[in-house]
Amino acid sequence: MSLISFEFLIFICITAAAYQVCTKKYRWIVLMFASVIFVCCAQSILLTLLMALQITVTYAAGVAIARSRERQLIVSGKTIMLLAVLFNIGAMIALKDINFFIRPLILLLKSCGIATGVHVVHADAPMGISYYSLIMISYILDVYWNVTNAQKNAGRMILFSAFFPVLTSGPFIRYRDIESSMYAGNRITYLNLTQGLQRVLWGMFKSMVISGRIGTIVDTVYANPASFLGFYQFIAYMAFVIQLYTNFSGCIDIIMGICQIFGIEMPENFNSPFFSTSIAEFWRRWHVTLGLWLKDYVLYPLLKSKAFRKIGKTAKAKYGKKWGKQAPLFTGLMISWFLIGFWHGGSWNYIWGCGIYYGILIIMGQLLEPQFVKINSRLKINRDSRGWKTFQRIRTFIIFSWGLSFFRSYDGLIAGIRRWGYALSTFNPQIIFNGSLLKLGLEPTDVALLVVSLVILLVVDTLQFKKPVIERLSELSLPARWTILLALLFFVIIFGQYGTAYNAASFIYEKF
Amino acid sequence: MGETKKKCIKIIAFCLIALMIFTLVFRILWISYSSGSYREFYKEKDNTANVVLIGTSTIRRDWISLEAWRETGYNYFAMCSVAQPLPLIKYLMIESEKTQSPDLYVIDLRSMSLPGGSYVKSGDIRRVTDNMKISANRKAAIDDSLKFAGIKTSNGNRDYYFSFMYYHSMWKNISLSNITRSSVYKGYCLDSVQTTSTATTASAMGWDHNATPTMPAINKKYFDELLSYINSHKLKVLFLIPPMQFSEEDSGRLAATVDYLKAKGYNIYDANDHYAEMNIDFSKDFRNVHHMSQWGAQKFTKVFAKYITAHYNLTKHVNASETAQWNKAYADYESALKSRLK
Repeated sequence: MSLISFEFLIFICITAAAYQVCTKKYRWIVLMFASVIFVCCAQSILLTLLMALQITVTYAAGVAIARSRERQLIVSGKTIMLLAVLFNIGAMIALKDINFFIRPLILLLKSCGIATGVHVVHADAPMGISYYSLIMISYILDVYWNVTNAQKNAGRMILFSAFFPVLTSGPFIRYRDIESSMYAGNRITYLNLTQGLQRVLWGMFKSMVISGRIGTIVDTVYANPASFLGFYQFIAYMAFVIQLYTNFSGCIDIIMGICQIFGIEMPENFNSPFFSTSIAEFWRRWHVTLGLWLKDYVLYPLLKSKAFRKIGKTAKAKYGKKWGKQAPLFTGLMISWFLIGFWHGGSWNYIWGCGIYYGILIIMGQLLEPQFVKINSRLKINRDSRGWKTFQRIRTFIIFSWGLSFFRSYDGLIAGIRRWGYALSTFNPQIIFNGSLLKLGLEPTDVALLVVSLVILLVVDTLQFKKPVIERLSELSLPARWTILLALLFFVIIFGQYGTAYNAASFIYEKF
Repeated sequence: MGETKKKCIKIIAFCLIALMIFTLVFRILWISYSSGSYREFYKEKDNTANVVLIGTSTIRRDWISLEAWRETGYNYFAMCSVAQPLPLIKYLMIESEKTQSPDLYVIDLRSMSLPGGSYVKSGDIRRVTDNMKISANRKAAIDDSLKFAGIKTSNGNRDYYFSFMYYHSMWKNISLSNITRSSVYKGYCLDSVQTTSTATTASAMGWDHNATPTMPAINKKYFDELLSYINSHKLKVLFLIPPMQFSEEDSGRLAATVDYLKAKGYNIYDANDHYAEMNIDFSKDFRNVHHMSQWGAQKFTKVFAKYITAHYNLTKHVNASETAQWNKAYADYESALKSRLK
């Protein structure tokens, strides 16, 4: 059931009606049943049972850790925590990324001349496994660290783990942040309803009007890279960033809007990333909750660990105080970036293009920062000037797009490297001006519509950067507000890519 | 006024405005091939039609209800689209029965003998069902005709039920004609008036009576269903073979259909046998071998209308105000025709 399907619309309407008529005390139960129905409708019984098993283990682990604190168990809380975390990680890898390990094993065995019955696995994983597994790991760790109380009600645990709007594409929620609003049974208020629907509409605009159209350019170039050299590749890389942004952030807007209708506060996942002046800042604004999750549950625990403290001490003794700090930090960063890439998919194009590439750039940025400052001062560049900031933003966008080109290289890391080769093989900026871009699968009318839509997106994102647009909108007079909303509504209705004339819109991050 | 009431009014007002704009946008984006005919049919007052004609573009081009009214004084109405797959006939009769109780149904045999599968295109179905009002009958018509055509949709036929899901993609094709709709005169669209014609001969028209009769099993099934509906509702029906040229393949299927219907005791009017009576001038009365020109249509309408009144007992059930309304429609048609032919 896609978030922009007719079935989902009906599903949401029924859920919202049932939610509203129930008393405050039982509203969370409506959401829980809705989540169970959503999960059961979306996948086979076997996959649902696998998901249920993970939830059961997490729930039991949370209760057991709490009891162990009260000395009611023989097994220590740490052991339970480790077992539960490993179980969730194991389940996620086994069901989703097992081929990452099987493929090299097959190659190794073949190179040694050993004939085995080992094959690549083609199995389905439960929907949203990458999301709910991390969400449950964060819960177990929070309970273990005593940051939050264990949830003793199994139904509430089901709702937290499988809450239907966030299940397929995030954002990553944390029990401690969401507990108060998820179970509060807040009424659907006029304000939440209207603002939630506005957010859903904006999400639909991004994903249904822009993402699919710009995706046509990307698909054309990626399908036949050898025919599109030089700037064609540059354009496709940048187009893919916009496609992914509009698709993913559009999906998140829809999710956030739905949650707002039910009065549930969600953490933001995007914060005007294209205004970032460095890659490090970009990732603080892009897929924010994933970055925070990695920081809180991987990077910081690693830096606090004995092994990393030892690395710090060794580096300090050998290379001085500065490296004593930087060595463990950079090691931790590289591990975190590897994991971010691996989380996106168990193949090297993701590990490089969504992980290590950015890790290297961020570390290089930190190492070379003093040199950059020196160069700037020699060239008398005012680092606070608007022009310099704009340059930094464009530079960051381009650097980001080159890394993300591997994300889109579904045919693997080597194919991605070849694409970089195609991009650098010729210098043909003239294609930007001579109409060649109109031959990338889009009709001129679609190109015109895309340009208009991107301008709208840019204006809204610029306004959003300073103050939330929904707030600005609510300050307008009724006729002005309605005109804007109706214009956007009909923009989506008319120009949205849905129905048989187009392939049904889908969300890229849903497959994770 | 309470705050809640105010908010409710705001929500309702917003939805109403959105609905109004939606209707307007839908109307503009809708590339409607036959909407005029159906739109006019739905506008007709209840129980005023004497004869309802259901057919393809041949009826749409060749039959002028207002001319027939002027000739015989009875109300005729044609529900036509460019092509009309066999399963849809029953549903159009059901649609007609919702508001009308005609004395006679005239059913065009042209596309009824066409088999299903690839012969029936999505557009053939859409031209009919997109123009029908939303109802259970429309849904059944869509489901049945898609089955007949062997068209499988990925989203449970939703694009057919809610045709905007299809038509919204037509924004690239918008032209002035989408905004300024052509006038429809009791189902006859003057846009189709063309004075240019194709010269043909009497021997070239009609169908080969010696062709080997062939009727696909699926057609027989749908014919059985249609006749069962007609019998159970005690409807009077005349089948029409329109004035046109049939290919050899079509002739074979038509021959089988004629045999089948005759065996069941139904009347068939073959317009191709009446060219002399119509006083057809083959140099100017046909625009092509499938459709008549304005002049041919006038001749066919008069002869066929006379045949109907002579052979079927039509009841006068039109009051003075409706008569005046038909007279006005005729006057409008006549003046529009004159100005078009200037």
